[in-house]
Amino acid sequence: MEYRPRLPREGVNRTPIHPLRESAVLLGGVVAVGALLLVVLGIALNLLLPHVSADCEMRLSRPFWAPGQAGQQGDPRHQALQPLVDRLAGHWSDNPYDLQVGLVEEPRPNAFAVPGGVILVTTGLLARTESENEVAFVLAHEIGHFAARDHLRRLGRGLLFAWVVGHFGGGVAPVDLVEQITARGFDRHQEAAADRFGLALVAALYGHVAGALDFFQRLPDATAGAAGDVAAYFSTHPVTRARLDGLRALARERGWPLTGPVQPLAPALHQEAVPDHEQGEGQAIEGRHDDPGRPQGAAVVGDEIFEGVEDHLLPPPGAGGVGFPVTVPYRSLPSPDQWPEAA
Amino acid sequence: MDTVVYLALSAAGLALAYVIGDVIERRHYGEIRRREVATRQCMATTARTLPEQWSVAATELVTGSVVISVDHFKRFLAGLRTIVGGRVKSFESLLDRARREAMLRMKEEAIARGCDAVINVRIETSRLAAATRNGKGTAGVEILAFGTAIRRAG
Repeated sequence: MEYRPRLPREGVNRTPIHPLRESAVLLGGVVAVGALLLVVLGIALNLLLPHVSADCEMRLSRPFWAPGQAGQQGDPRHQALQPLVDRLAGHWSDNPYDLQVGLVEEPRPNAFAVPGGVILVTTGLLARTESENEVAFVLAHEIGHFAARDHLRRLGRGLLFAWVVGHFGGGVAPVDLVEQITARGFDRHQEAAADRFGLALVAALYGHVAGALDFFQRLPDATAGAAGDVAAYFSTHPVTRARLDGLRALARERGWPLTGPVQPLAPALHQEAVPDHEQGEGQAIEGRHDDPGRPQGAAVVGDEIFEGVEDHLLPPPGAGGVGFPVTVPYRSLPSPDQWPEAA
Repeated sequence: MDTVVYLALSAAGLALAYVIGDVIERRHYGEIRRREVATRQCMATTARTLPEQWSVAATELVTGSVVISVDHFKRFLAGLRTIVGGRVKSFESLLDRARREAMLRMKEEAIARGCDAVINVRIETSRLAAATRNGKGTAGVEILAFGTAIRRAG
């Protein structure tokens, strides 16, 4: 027997491929196949959606929106909003939904169309509106999403995306990322279609579209270069000049008057704009927010009353003296003797 | 925006892991080759018996053991690989290094004890406790090389 002390050969137990090349090939392939799946299943979803009836949708999703949660029947703000929704929906001739409106206690202005015919409006949005027509357009816009079934499309796409990435991503794609992407809003075309539908509803309700677009028109100027709260609204509801111009053009084309008597905001809704901490610090904010003397209704269309929309905005939490000459007294925690009896 | 930041951070983490892992691997291979040349005269064989003409002065059990773990980039690559299947190439170099390192440690141990050869060499691999709570992922594997070191008489 002969023994030769030789060195091990390289490349026997190690595939000679550059790791970066391998990762590029793998990542490219997986992303390409995943994207293809999304496209194909997305088309299948669009074909399937018309076959899901509104009844079926409401039956499936209403259990998640118990009356106490979304309806808030006892709330005066809800009592003011629901009839408005009902009046708007009355002008949608083939409405298959029993539309319900719900309030979300949230300082950031936003509104959502939720499966099952539920429209959610944040209190922050109500606080920033000045007339019933503005609120009506926001609500009608969300009704427009129901008409186009955008909410189901978004839900379906979200589920598809989560499935493809979660299942197919093999644990490489982080779940947080999936949630972030699926939580995005409707696309531009869906928003534009909902706008047109909403404006038509508002025109049918009031006979004109005056004041309807004021809310959208006002916010961008008032908040240029500031306010993270408002930026959040535009991340899901981008308002562009083109979008507003398009809506005005639509109104002219259909012969909807751009001027007319604007309805004042229902008192219950308007109260929201004066939160309790403002009452306590009324001195400091007086003069900028002259509520009692304000000629409601007629004047809300005019520009002169809106020297700055921020006068009507809720101070953002923690905004001690930034733009607001008040220190917001936060509701402090109740002391232990005020705590409810332990069960 | 959050998504972009997240992706950028993930990519930066992977790039950092790749660069660091690559530098360490190159260095390690250089060291392995140098030590393999230095220890090549110490015979290591899986044969269970000695050549008949050898006379043995002493025998001893020698072991060489190394524990390795994967880096972030290699794990990412292996994760991608599990989607489509095939050879998990990113782990191959890691295990190749570990086996050769274990053999080297064993031989160096034999040489330090004045031995000339190691016979009946075996290599074993055992998985250490899982790194994550869900039982996935590996804290590392141990590669153990062991054999009977022989000191020849005369």
